[in-house]
Amino acid sequence: MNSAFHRFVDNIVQQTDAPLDEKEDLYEELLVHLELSYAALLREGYSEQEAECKAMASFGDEKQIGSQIQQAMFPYRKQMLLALVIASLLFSFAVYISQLVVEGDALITWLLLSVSVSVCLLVFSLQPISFLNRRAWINSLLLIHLFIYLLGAGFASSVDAAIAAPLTFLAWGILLLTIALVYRTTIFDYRTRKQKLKKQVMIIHALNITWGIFITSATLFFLWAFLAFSTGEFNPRILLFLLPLLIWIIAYIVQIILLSKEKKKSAYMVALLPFIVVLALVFWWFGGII
Amino acid sequence: MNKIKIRKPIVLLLIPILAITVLLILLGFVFQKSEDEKQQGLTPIFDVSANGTIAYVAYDKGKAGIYLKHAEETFDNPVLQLDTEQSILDIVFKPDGSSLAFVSANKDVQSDMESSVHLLSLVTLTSEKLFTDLALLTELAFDPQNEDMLFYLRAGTFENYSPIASAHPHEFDLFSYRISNQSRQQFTELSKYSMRSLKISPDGKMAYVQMPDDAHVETAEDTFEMKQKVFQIPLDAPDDLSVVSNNDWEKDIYDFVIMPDRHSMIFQSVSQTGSEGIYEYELFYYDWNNGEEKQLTYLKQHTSHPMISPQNGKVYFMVDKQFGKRKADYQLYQMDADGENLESIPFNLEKH
Repeated sequence: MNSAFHRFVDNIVQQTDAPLDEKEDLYEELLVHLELSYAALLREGYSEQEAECKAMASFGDEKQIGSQIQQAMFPYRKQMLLALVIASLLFSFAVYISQLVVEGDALITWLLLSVSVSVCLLVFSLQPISFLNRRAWINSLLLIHLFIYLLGAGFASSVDAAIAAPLTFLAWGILLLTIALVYRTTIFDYRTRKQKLKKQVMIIHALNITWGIFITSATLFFLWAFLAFSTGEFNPRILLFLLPLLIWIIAYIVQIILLSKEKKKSAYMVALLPFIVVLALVFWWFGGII
Repeated sequence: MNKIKIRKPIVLLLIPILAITVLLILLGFVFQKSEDEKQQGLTPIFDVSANGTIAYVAYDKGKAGIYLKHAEETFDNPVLQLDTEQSILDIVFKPDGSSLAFVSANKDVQSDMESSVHLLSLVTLTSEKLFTDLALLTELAFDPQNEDMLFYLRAGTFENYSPIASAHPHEFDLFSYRISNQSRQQFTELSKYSMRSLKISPDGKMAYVQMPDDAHVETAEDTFEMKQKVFQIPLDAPDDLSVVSNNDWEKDIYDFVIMPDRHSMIFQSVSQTGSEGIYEYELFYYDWNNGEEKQLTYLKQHTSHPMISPQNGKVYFMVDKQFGKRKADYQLYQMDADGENLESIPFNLEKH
């Protein structure tokens, strides 16, 4: 095997942020192309060294090829991430300065958290890191980003000055872009090859993410309301509010396992479970009130 | 493949981000303010002396100060300023206008509930502490007939009675302090949930306060029906207190001032709910001899703290132009007793 070809192909593959299995396939494919070209050049009468150089030269610049493959595999993903990072960093600095100047509050912890998560996303978008390049990692980062900037939206709206309105508007733009990236990452960008029912997997993911946003928002609201009315002591009943969230997580995992076993109907039945539980809770709650 | 080597262009991007973050953190340490330092601007606390001088309390970078305004002249510097840990709860001129009594208390009332009453000479601008109490003394009033006698409202606790309510002073009673012999006297034993707007009649025989009319409250439902009313307390027989505000008035009555004729009052109550769902508080007139009632202000804001100038009989009151918002924005107004000739009184607050 030609070590120069390996380095060349490796440089191309590193430009993409495809999952490891797709990278391995891409690696093999590019290497085969190079070796075929190399063999053809040898047959044409070139020396080994000349054939090697010519094969790589005819392929083109590694970085450019890598970038083109990345764009073909994940159209505008890098641009979306970069837009999110730039908007997030500008928002963090603007909210911090506004709070300091107008309210006299230095939100140091929030600034450090928000800049850290934005910088992580910046590194992810500009330099794919193979062993971190997993749907779980990127989604975790995006979810952390979502919660930190949800807090930021609160800080932005609480600035007692005219800048509060544009900052709050920017905050909601950042939150929507983050949610869009969660959908994209989960449904389109990182599709596992183990699943055969690809379309069903996409539907189940879309359904569960939407439902997850709704359940998480409702859980946070009820937790906030409960804590606002509490006396400050820990009340075990607070854990009841986490029940719908727990049911949603378990049901989500079960649905994916069922789909991997190609049990489509069972997966959809389980997908209905969180809906039924929440509906039952709503009827029980309002029934209790009425 | 698992070895992470951050590319140079990314490092070049990270350096300015890191530098800005560090700079902002350093600026944060330099310019952040403690809660005590944040208070700024006019408060609703003011009084008008017999010679027409207005004394008012304003905060400058968290420091409570007493400022004076006489006619068109506003004195830029406070005649007295406390440190940032202290607040001024009330001020009141002595009937002759030569000095001013005020109550100071710790801003952190819940951890250190202590109030002190001081007398500030407006001639020498020196302050003398009269007494200290391990309670919250919320309002002061001199006996118009006896400058030696200072009445005050005393709250025994500062706490939240229900999880959904913020902490407030409670267990109120009426007390007096005789300056010459430093003696204190308790007039009521009501331990009221709330009590405010302390006024003493011109003859010094009657105290007036606003408080909840809970005489007939027995059940939780009764509590919701309970109304805030104005009571008169005969100082020689405090147990014989009675309601003087209109019992048929369907809304709560908050601040008030008794007119010099002693059978009518100007009071604060809700007139309507504004377009943003925020109550609009206005001033009303009520004569309890003939039952005459009249709305005096139509400012559609939060109108409060009515008082009558001993000099010209004008009604002075505060308006919070940002009521319902996070920060209040007070403006002092004056008008005739019939609500005519309304005008605002500027304070040049940007100077302090």
